[in-house]
Amino acid sequence: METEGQNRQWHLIRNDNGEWISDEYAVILQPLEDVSLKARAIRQKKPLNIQRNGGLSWCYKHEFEAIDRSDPEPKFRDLKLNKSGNKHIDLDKIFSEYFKRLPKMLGEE
Amino acid sequence: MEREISEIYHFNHSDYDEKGRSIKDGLPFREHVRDFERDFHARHSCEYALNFYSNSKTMVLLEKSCDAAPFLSYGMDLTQGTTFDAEEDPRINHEIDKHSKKIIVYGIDSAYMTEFDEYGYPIIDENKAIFPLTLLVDNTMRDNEVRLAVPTLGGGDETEEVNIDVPKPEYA
Repeated sequence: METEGQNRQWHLIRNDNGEWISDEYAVILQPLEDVSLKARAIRQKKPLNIQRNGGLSWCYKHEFEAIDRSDPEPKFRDLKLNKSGNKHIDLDKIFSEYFKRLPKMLGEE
Repeated sequence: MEREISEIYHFNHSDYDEKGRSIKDGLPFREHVRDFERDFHARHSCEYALNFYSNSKTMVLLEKSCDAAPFLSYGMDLTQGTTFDAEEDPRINHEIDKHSKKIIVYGIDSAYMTEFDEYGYPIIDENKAIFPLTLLVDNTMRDNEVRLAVPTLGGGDETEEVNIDVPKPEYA
C-alpha cells in the first residue's frame, strides 16, 4: 500500500501497534508537551494513548480534544526532609564508619 | 483496477476465542496471517502480499487478535468491485472515515517489515515492494477464508515467477 497518491492531501501514520491510520486523526506533540498532557489526562481521568513513532510523539485527536488544556499545571512544592528544615548529613563520618567495618564484612579480620 | 496475483487461505473461526487467540496453541490470528504471508512469498518468490481481503467477520477477528483499540476499525470497504482500486477506494473510504464513529485502519505492518530505523520506525523497502498490508473488506467472501494478493502488471510483465511447491497451511 503506497502512502501517497494523486490529489491526496492526507497521509498515513503508524501507531505503536503497527496500525496505519489517516494522519488527520493524529496530533503531533511538541517536546515535553506529551508530559504535561499526560499529567492533565491523569488528573482529569481521561484516556490518553501517546504514540512514539518515527522520532515523533503523537496522540489521537479525539483524546487530545477531550482533555481540558486550560487546566493549570500544578506548582511544584518545595521538598522538605523534616519539620526543622534540611538536615545536615555528615558524609565524612558515614564513610569513615563504613571503611572501619569493611574488613570485618569481607572476613579479613 | 489492477490485476492481481492472489492466494486464498482457509481457517476455522471456531478455533479462535473472543480475543482472537487460537484455542489450540494460544497464538493470535495475526500470527497465522503472517504464516499466510510467508507462504504467499514462498509460492511467488518475487512478490510480497500487499492486499489482505476478508469479510467483516474475519476482519473483526484480525482486529481483536491485534488488540486494536476500541475506537479503531480495520479495513477499507471495496467500492469498485471485488478488487482493490488503489486510487478510488482510499479516497472514498477517507470520506467515509470522516463521518464514522471509528477510525479506519487502512493497513497493518507486513510480516516482512522486520527492519527498523533508529526511532523504532519500520523501514519500508520500496525496492522489494514490502509495504504495509492493506486491509480490505469483501463481504462476498466466506467466513473461513482470507485472500492475499499483490497487483501485477499482467500481460507483458517481464518478471519471472518461480512457484515453489509448498503445502498450503490450513488452520481448520
